[in-house]
Amino acid sequence: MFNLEKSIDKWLKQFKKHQAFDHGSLREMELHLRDHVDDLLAKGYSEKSAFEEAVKEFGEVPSMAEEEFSNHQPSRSLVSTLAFSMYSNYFKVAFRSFTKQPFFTFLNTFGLAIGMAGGLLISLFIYDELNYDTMFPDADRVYRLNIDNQTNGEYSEYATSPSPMAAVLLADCPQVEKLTRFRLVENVLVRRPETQLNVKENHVTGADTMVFEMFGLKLMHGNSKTALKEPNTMVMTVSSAVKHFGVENALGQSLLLNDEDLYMVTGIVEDMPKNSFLRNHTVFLSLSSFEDAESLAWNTWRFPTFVKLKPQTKLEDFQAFLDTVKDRYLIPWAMTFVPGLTVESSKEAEKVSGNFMRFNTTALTDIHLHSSDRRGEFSPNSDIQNVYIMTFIGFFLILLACVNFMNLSTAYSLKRSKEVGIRKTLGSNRFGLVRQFLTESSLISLLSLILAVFIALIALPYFNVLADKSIEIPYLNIGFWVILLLSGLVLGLLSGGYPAFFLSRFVPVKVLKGHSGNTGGGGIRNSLVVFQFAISVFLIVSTLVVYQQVNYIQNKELGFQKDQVLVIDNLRAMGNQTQAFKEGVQQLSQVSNVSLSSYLPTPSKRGSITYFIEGAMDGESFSSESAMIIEQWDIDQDYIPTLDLEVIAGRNFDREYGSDSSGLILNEATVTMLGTTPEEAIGMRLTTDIHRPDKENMEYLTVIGVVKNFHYETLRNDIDALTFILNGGADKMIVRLGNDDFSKSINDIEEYWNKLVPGQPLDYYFMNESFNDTYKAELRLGNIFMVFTFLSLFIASLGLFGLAAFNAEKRIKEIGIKKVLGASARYITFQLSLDFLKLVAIAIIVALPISWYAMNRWLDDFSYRIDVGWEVFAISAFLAIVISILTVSYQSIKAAMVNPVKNLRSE
Amino acid sequence: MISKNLTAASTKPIILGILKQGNSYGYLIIKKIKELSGGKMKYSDGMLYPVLHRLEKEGLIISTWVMEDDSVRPRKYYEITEAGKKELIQEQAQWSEVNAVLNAIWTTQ
Repeated sequence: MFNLEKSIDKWLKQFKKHQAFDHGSLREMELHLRDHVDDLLAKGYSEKSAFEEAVKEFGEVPSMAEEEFSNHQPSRSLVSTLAFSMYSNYFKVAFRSFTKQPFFTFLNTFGLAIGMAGGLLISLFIYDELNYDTMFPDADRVYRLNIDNQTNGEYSEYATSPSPMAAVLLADCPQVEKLTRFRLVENVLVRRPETQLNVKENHVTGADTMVFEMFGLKLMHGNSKTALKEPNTMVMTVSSAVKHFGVENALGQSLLLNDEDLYMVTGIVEDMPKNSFLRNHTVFLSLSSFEDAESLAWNTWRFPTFVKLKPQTKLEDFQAFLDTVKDRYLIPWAMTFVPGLTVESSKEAEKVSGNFMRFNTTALTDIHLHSSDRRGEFSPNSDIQNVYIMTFIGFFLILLACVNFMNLSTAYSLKRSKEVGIRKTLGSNRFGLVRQFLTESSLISLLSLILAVFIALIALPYFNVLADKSIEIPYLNIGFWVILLLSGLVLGLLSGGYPAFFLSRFVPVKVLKGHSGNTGGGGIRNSLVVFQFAISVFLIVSTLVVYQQVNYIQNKELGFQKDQVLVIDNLRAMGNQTQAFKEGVQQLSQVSNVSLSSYLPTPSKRGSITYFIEGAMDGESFSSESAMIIEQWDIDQDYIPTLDLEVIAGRNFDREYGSDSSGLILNEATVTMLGTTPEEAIGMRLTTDIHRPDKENMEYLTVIGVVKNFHYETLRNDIDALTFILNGGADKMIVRLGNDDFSKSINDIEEYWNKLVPGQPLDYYFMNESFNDTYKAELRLGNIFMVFTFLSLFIASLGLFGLAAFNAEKRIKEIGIKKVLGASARYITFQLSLDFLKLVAIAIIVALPISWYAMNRWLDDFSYRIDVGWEVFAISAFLAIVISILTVSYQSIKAAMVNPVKNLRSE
Repeated sequence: MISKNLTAASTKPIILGILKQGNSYGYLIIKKIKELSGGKMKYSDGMLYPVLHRLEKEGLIISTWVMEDDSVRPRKYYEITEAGKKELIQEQAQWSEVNAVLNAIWTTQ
């Protein structure tokens, strides 16, 4: 029996096979057929023949499909439209999944943003460090000349050159294209002639006229060719001009230096680049103002000299020239006043004594990171080590954030396993899915990036204090934004890559039946958690050890009084009134001791001197084996009581004894060097007076006392031999205050100072401050470790928090059933937390040995160091566990407290 | 019987011409063509729809689904647009020219 409806359906199916016809067309054709059939029925056709006739009239399917399909062609061929609609779909789905899980999206974005912000700050720091002095023109061809010198066993490195070096290089060295010369100047007191008040300028240098051309410095006012030509002229930076004169254009104005020399301003230069060796320098005095500027003496090591080599010059060739300088120029100069000296005899003498003097170079761009601090350095240098440590920290921070991202994404992806299953069933291929998830992770990554820039912006001032820097975000640098965007994308793809492939791997049949939800990726997730916490534990241990060591150093019994000790510097400003000032200060009731000396028991660069014991003469001369290199400090009678040093044998210098001018006080280390005991050392005679020709009149110093060893160098070093001799001419006054009212004491001292030398600034500091400066590097390291430990812990906790939330949700039914069967909330909380505690425990076991090893390596740098005790590890482990319990328990308790009926009912 | 090619070529002006007389739907359009040609234009009904869809895409006609009160089925009604009317004028001119040429040739023979 013919069935019209069935026949029409069957007929329509032919069209459905072809993608050309959309739903509307199919319906339209169906209606056409029905209309036609109705008409034919009205004409008396049977249903069957009416249908057959209508179908025949309608025609063949393939030709129609082809015709219809050609209608679609134009739009399909537009690939970009297709891609756009594809990606807009990805974005749509991404946005949906974000809004569906706001908590997860927040955790993910925020964690990644924190890591990125940290990474961004550290990258800026490293970029800043690596780009010191690169802004100068042809920086790759500019070199600074150095001297390495060893005399009497004391080795020193200088960043300066002798005065005649410049002329020699310009005249005779074929490799030199340009040369500029500075001259070291101590800090100077500056005032306008019409005023009284002096201002201290710490960063003043002499410079020749070439300095501006050499370093591409632009004069805002004045002529750079002539500005520093005449004696008593100066060029100052614009901010210095504003500081002293209140205007930028101070051309033609004058300044009085050290109350005696009048200098005229002939140029105003832009401020020095912040990351250059000249960064703090504000005042350049013309080189011709200095008497020794054209000196032919080779012992004038006060002239930092920079050369620009010709292009394509080999540094070795230039070094080869430098190696000849000593024999060709220096020794002929010395021969004029040392009778009998020849090149050969000086070489012979060097061989015997082990002395040497060598010229070499440091590349301009290596000064900041790849050179030690030499004498006469313009600004304190950093160390490539710091860059490595920061790179390490930054790398791990970002790694932590990525790991977090992967962990959370894979965990929450399980929730989407059904989505993946359905997409796959509907014909989505794996790469489409991968693209979808990568789009999502890139979006989150970009979102984090924006957040990270804001966080970095807010944190930058604090970071600058922490790292002792003045970094700015280079807003105007397009390259910066490009790199930022690219690294954000790369991070997104990297951290999204694993979850994407993980998700797209789901087998649709399994996930739709609900299998994969139980096991997927758990192993990898767990190991990532272990990894995160291992790093956190490592950082906690490091922070604790660094702080313990710094604390140990600061509180170690140093053998002298460092608290309540005020140091007044730059006594030169007093002229010949130093003694009067000292006596006046001594009268103040709150002052207990005052001493004059240039030597402080804090680390600084001090020279040593060669001593011989009486009788160590080998015939007519001293043999070099019996020479002892010992530091010698000039002190007065009040030095030992002021610093509260302990005399363990003999006595201190005393005004009663006129013979003390040839007296000598040793520390224990010197006694050990002499191979005797403190008691026996008293009365021994030593000499430094070995160069005189009439050996019988040689002057000896007699040991009158021995002081207990005290730490005058950093605790990185052992206590070395040290001697005191009685001598005046001090530049510092050491004042021990009797009570704690420091501000009153300082006021009184300042008042008295102003009475004696009105207008001069009083330059003072507390000795423990200067002492703390010594350990600035360690303190900074400690602070940096602490901040980033906190950050990494925070990120790890965020991740753990998210995982715990996920875990609790995944096991919601299980918890419900357990509760129904009588489990207590406490038991369930315990159970849920235990899973994570196991991971943290593994992390601790992994991290402790590594951190033990690393911190012992760091501590090995110190002669006086703490032992890393088990407490440090216990505390670190305890902290990690407490933090993880706090993080996890909130979620666990929340899950455990929920009414089981609610969980079990919902499906 | 009018050849297949010529039928195909003339479909566009015919459809536009019919629609100019008033809105209509597929089945009615084909019925009208058959009536007018006295069955001499051999059409398979289905071929009309791709053409309608193409014309719609070109913006010469627009369509709306309408449920008429007196009918059991909805219909997809097509309506000629202003652009369609202009196109029809051009088509008419072209066909007239072809016609004129043919007439000129044949009257001289």
